[in-house]
Amino acid sequence: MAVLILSHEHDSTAHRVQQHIEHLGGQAVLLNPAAFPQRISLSARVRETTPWQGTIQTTHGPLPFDAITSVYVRRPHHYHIREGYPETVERFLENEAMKGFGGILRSLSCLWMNDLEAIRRASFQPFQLTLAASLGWHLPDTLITHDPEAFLAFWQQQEGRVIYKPLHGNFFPGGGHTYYTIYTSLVGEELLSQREGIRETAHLFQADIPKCYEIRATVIGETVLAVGIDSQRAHASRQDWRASYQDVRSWVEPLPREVEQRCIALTQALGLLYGALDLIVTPSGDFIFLEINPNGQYGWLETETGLPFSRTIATVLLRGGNSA
Amino acid sequence: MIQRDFEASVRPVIPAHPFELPSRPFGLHFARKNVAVPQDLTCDKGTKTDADTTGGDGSTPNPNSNEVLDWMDDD
Repeated sequence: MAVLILSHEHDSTAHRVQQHIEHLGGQAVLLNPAAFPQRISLSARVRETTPWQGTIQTTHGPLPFDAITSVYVRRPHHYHIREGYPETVERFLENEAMKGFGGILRSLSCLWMNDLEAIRRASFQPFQLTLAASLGWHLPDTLITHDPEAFLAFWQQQEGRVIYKPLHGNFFPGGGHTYYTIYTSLVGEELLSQREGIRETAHLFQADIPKCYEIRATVIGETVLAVGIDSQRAHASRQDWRASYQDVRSWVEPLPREVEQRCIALTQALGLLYGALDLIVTPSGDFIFLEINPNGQYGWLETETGLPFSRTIATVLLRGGNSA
Repeated sequence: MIQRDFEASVRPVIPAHPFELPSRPFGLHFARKNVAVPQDLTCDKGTKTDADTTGGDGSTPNPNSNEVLDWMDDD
C-alpha cells in the first residue's frame, strides 16, 4: 500500500509529509508528472471487467496502480517534453501525455487530497463567497465588475475604504526571471482617475474591513490548525500580510468551536480534504471570511508555531479510502 | 518591445505598471516586483506561478499558490 505524492523533487513540504508517512510505517512515493515520459514510464490496460491495471516505473522502482491508496496533490509540474520539436508538435505531445498519463492517475479510485475537480471548483472566489455566506460566514461587502462607474459608486458608498485583489492568483510573469505579485491593496483616491482600466476585465473590490488581527485556519480532514497573524503591527502588512513576512508574527490561535465547525463545513462543502482559510478578526471580535485556498502553503507556519501540519496530512493520507 | 517597456516601467518599491497601454488593466496598478524570487520559479513553465517554498530557505512563501492543475489542464 502506498501514498502517491504528486509534486516536484525540490518540494520540501512534500518531503516532510513523506517522512511522516514513513515514520508512521507507510510507504510514500514522490512523483512528478513532469518526469513523464523522460524519467518515468507507464503502461496500463483496461478491460470490461477490470479497472486500469499497470505499473508506473519510477526512478525509485515500480509502483503498481493497485498499491496506491491515496494521492496527495501538492505541486506537480507540467509535462516536460524532449526539446527540439516545433512548438505545435510540443503542444501535441504535452496534451497526449496529460490525457494519457494524467488521465490514468485521475481514474485511480482512492483518497485524493485534494480531488482535482474540487480544487478547480474551489478556485472560483465568487463561488467560495456564496457558499461561505450560505454556511453563516460574515463576508466583506464585495463587488465584481468591469464597469468603472459601478466601481466608483461602490468606492463612494464605502467612503474610500475599498481594497482590490485579483481573482486568479497573484503572480504575474514579467518575462525572464522577473515576477510581479499583486497583493491585496487599498484603492487610493489617486487611482480613481485611472478607473477606465476597469473595463478591460473583471475586477474584485471589497469593503476594507477593520482588522484586529488575521487568522490562517487550515482544515485537514476534520482537524483545524489555526494560526493568528498580527498583520496590523506594520504598515506594509496591513492589507496583505504576504507583502511583508518579516513584519508579521504568528501564534497558535484556538478557535471557538462554532468557528472551527464552520471552517470544516466550508471545506467539506467544497469537496476538499484540505483547505486553508483566511479570516479577519475585527476589533469587535467578529470572524470575517476572506477566502479559502485548496492548496495553501503551511510549511512556514509549521516551522514558526510547531503545529503538526505535515503529520496530520500524513495521518489522513494513510487512512486511505475514497474521496467520492 | 513590450518586454523592454515592461522592464523599464517597473521600480521595486513604488507602484509599478507593466504595460503602457491607452487603457491599462486597472488591477495591474497594484503589481509589485518580487524582491525575493523563490528558487523554483524558474525551473520550468509548470512552476511559473508557484512560489512553492516553506519560507525557511530564504525565499518568499506564497500561501495562496493555486496553480496545481497545470499538469492536468489544457484550458
